Amino acid sequence: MRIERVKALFQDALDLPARRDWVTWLRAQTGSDYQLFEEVSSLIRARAAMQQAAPIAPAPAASVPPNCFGAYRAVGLLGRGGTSTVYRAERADGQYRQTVALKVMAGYLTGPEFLRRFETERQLLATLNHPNITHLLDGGIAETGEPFLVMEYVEGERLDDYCDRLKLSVPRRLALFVKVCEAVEYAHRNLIVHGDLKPNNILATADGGIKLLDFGTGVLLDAAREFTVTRTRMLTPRYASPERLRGGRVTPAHDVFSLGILLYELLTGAWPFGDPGSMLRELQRAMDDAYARAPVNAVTNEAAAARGLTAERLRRLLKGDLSAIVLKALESDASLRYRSVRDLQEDLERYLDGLPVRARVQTAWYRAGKFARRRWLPVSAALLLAVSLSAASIVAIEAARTARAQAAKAYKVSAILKDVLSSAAGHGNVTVMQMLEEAEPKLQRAWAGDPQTEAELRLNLGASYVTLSQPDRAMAQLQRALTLFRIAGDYQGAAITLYIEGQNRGELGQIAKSVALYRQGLEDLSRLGKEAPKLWQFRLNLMIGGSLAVLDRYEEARPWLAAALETGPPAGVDAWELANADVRWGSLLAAEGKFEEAEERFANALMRAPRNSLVAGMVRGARITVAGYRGEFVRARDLAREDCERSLLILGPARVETAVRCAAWARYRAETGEIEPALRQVRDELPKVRKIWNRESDYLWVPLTYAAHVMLKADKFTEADRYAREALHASDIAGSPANNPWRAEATELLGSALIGERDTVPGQRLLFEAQRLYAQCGPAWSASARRLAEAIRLFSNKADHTRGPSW
Amino acid sequence: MPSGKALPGEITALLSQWGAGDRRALTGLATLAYDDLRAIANAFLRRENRTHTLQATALVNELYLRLIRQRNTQITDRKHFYTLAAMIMRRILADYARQTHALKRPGTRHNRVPLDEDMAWIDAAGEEMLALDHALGELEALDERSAHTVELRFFLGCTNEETAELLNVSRKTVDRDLEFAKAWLYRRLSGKA
Repeated sequence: MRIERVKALFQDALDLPARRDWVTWLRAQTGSDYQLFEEVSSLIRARAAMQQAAPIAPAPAASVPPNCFGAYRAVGLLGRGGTSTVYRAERADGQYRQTVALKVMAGYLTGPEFLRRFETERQLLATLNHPNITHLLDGGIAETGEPFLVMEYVEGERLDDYCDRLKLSVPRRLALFVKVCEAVEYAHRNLIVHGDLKPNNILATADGGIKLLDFGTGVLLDAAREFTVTRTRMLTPRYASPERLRGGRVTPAHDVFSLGILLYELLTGAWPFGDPGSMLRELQRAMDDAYARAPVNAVTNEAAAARGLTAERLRRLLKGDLSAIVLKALESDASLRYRSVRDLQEDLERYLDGLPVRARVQTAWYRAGKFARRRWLPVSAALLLAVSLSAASIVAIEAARTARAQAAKAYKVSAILKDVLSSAAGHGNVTVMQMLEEAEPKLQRAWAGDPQTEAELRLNLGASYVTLSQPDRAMAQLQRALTLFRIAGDYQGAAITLYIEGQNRGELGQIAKSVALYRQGLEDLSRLGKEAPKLWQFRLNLMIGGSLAVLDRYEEARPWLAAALETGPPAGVDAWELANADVRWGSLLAAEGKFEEAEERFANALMRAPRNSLVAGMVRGARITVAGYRGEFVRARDLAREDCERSLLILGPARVETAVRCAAWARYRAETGEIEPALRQVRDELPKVRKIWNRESDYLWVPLTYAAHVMLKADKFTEADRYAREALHASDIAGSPANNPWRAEATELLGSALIGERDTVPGQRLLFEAQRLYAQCGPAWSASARRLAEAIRLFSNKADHTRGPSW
Repeated sequence: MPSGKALPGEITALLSQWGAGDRRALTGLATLAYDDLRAIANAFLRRENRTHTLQATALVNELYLRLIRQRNTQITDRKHFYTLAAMIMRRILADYARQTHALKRPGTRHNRVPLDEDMAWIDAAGEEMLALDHALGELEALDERSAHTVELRFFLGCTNEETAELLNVSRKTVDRDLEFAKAWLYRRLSGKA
């Protein structure tokens, strides 16, 4: 039976006018198809039954519960929330009349565990004794099992309504707000946070006093969270801090934030983040991606009138210090907010007294210090390209993606960019690239005339392009950003831009160029003197050291790595970055032949970031290299295979990194006897490598050298010759110094190939040359040098010139 | 359910497979994204506002934005993400119900919570959730759109308008589909007893 027919009939039946008898109608529609009739009518009946079915939770009754709550009796309904209902109540024991507020927690919150917590909290709350806080008188469990609190009953008006009704001036509003701060501060000193500060909970009494309600409810609700399923009304997101939106616990910093919103509204009549109903806003806030609008921009004529001023005058009033105070309370990063309510209060008092305030003016430079984006995943995790060699240096090339993602966090993507991206994505098939293209012209408008903003936006765009592997577009944006930052005197911005551009170059394999850029970045940072952020110094030092290591310039790399590591991890460094530093340092040690220490470092790196696949990849690559040094070819092969497979899975086959890793695997397969498969791999894959390789890359010699190894093992000397030559050529192009182990290796390979091709004399000469070159490399290559020397000796002694030495 | 940290490329790969019509990729996606989404869900799931949408769509946007940041992700339309998230929410609730019931001692009263004002006869904290999950699966096989409507509306908390937009149908269609689905589910679930 076709479901569409059933559905259509069902729906049409519902549309029938009430008088019409659906049974007759349906019979007419279904004719002789009795099954169909039965199906549809059973659905209709089911619907009727459903509507009669008792809902699980009865709709909230507006009536007052007749039963007693301990010694109290509810006499009127004051309000109803998602988790509780508040009644006006009286003492029922006839002793004396006292009107109280009775707050009953919602039924589905109860349970023995919750009740226990409730009791504890209640005791705590009862200790609060402050004229501006409603006193908690009593509490208990009703007969029906619901916990309830008995509180001082207060007649009052919401603070914001009160202020607007009386058209209170800004100073008078501030005076009231200060009282609120005092009360909250008092509670904080008693280790109780409010958690749900909002105008609803702050009453202004007829005599102009203040009463705060609902202290500690936020904490209680946290307890409730564990015991409920869904749909528990927690707190008003409108006044919630970003960390709270993310599900974090209630802290004093959260209260500061809520107070900030309250203050903003008292001053401007508007919500700082635009449309409170917008879900995108809430998400942005939760992701630390929303900026509070400068108070001056939020003023309307009505709001000004409610404050006894014209819009113009209100704006003037709100400029400067007052603005700074509010915005400091609204910092999305809790560590940048006022540390305590007291600090906020004091700054306000300073303002009222005409004294300078502590709130710093929000410059972009200042904002740039915030990088915590805990909930963002990297665009795609970078995998350290750790290519292992038989007897040469560890070439650790960082595929820049994670690092780039880090750097892209440096300046928050503006709300504009985000919005544009989201809206663009709603239009059918579109790639991120297309969206960015669409976004660019819109952004031009956004930054009109403000170099600092333009710089930030371009930096962001540039970083996005880098992560999308659009190096030319990235470069264009980043270069412009750099100029603008320098014009604006924002040296940190300049440094970050250079860092990202360095990543960009690194992705292209232009390692030497990237090092130059990083060094410039450090210079820019140095202009900030003591103010230079340690985080970026760390990163730049690490990148320089790491990149030099990539180029096998270990002597040079060492001081940079040491500089990065010596000062201890600065704040804001991710675990994976520290792990990266460990791996680098370990590689350095390994190159010096200190294999045990190197392994310690690798293990340390894994401990720092245990479940991080990027780090795991880095360590694996480094271990492959060490295995190579030590001639443990089976281990190297197995690790390399894993490396290759991971890369295929994660990056796919069309990536440079994958090609190189797979070539490494092939190399070790050949070394351990799997010659045929290795050969196939090289023959299939190397052409692909060429196609996708960027001509300017610094390390094309890597896969070429591997290929040469494999060819030699398979006795394909002509091909080995070709690959080895290419490797040398690539190495030359890259301008690597003479003691580059790759060069030694490629030289060795070429020599062997020539010998295999019966071109003995030049072949031999090259082998000697290779030996000499190895000798100039670090201790890790001494094994290679020895092996080579031994082979030469054997070879020279051999009378048989028909075969090359068997490697 | 097996869950692991998603390797970034995996999500992209599965997404494009899904975009190419491979339905099984959706399961893969759900599995991979489960942990991540569950973390977000735990933060958002507990809140309620006047409109459910705020919590639910926010969660979905989070997923959306995460996925969008994958390089060159082929984004077919937002519906995919919303549908995915609704599926995951449904799974989360079903899992929760399963767990809660495993831990309960027989005879203990449990606190019942209506799934939604519109489906108030289902206890979101009760065993019915598992039956509902199952029944939805059956409905999905018969009439996918209705099942998705239910997911979006009740598990994700989208409004009827939003649901219509996501499913690319008219508001009226959503209303009618919901009527049908509710009746169907009710019949299915009360038949069991």
